[in-house]
Amino acid sequence: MNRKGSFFLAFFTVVAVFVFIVFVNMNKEKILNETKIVNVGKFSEVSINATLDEEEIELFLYTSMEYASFNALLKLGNDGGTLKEQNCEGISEHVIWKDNCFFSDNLEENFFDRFKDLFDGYVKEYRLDEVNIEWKIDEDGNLVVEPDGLIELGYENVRYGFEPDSEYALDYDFSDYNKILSKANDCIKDEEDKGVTRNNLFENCRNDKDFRWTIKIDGRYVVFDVAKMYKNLGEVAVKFALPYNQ
Amino acid sequence: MMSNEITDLIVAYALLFLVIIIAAVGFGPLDKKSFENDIKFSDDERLFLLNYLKTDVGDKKIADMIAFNENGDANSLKDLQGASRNILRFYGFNGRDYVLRVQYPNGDVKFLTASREGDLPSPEPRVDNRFRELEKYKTELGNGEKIRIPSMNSGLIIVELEVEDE
Repeated sequence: MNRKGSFFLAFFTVVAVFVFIVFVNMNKEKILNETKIVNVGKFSEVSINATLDEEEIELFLYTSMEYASFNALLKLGNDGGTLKEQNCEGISEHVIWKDNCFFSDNLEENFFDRFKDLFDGYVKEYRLDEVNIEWKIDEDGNLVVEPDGLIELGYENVRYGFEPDSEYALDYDFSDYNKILSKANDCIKDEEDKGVTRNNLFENCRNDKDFRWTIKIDGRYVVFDVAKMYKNLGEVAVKFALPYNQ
Repeated sequence: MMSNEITDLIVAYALLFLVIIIAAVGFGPLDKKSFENDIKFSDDERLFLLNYLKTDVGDKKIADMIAFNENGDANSLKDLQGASRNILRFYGFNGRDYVLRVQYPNGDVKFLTASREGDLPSPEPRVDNRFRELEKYKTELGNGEKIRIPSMNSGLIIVELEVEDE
């Protein structure tokens, strides 16, 4: 081969390599698919991020249900278990239980009204507008709240959706309201029956081991705060007043 | 060796070098883009933060302690700082520096713990610039991993863990 031929061959080799590389790069996706090489990094990253996002949202929803429940029980107790729209007479910020103003027959629904307002506030702020909340009574007779709806998350060209599965069982027995009313009436009657030895100590209530009673006399009424610990979140008190013959 | 042969040899080496450069530049991005660059998992801190919030300390979860601290006193903050310090020191982050902070809905930022000794804020503020910088580091959120949890009152609490890059 002469010198010109050698140069041509060498130059042709360089051009051929260059053209080959350009071709491979242009057909990269096709080649990867044909050779069954999957770009696993991208999907793994999306998958891990989606799992962590889901986990974070589940934690948020569960904690929101927990705090909304506690605060709803507090509000319900502050209103003496009456309906939200009921305008009852009060004394020292305590509802007077008399005539039509007593705690409602359906305390669960009444609780849920307040709970929903609080829970919706949390999820709205977190921008989880697609989440609804429902309640049911489980086989053990406990009120259970559970979120409902499809939460969708978006990552570069990938959408991931899941239905939240955390549910929250309320650790509260609404029949406590009846127990408290019955006990308070008994204590008032005992006190009234003492006659001249009346000392307004309401011993049977104050010595009660199921609840912590705070009792005050305010004019013609006895004002009660009857509290019980709710999980580890704090005390939930039922606040009300009952007529009292001094 | 004749001068023609030397010239040919030089040109041959130059062409070989050119081929290698073209191949390296041409195939490089293909390899990296497909098999290396996309595999970046920065989930360590986030996973840790999630587990930290779910950790039980006595009869309370850390998330509850953080929420309670919003209305709490100095003692509740001390308990939270102590528990957080123990958990983060145990985890260690492979010797990297870290700082853990929490921001309440009213904008108030509370420092929980950090990797270095003497990490708790001093009760008597000094006025030199270094201290100001340190105070800023403890009382303002940074660019770390953040998780939002509900507040007991209303609104959201932001928990932030900032870890030094590897």
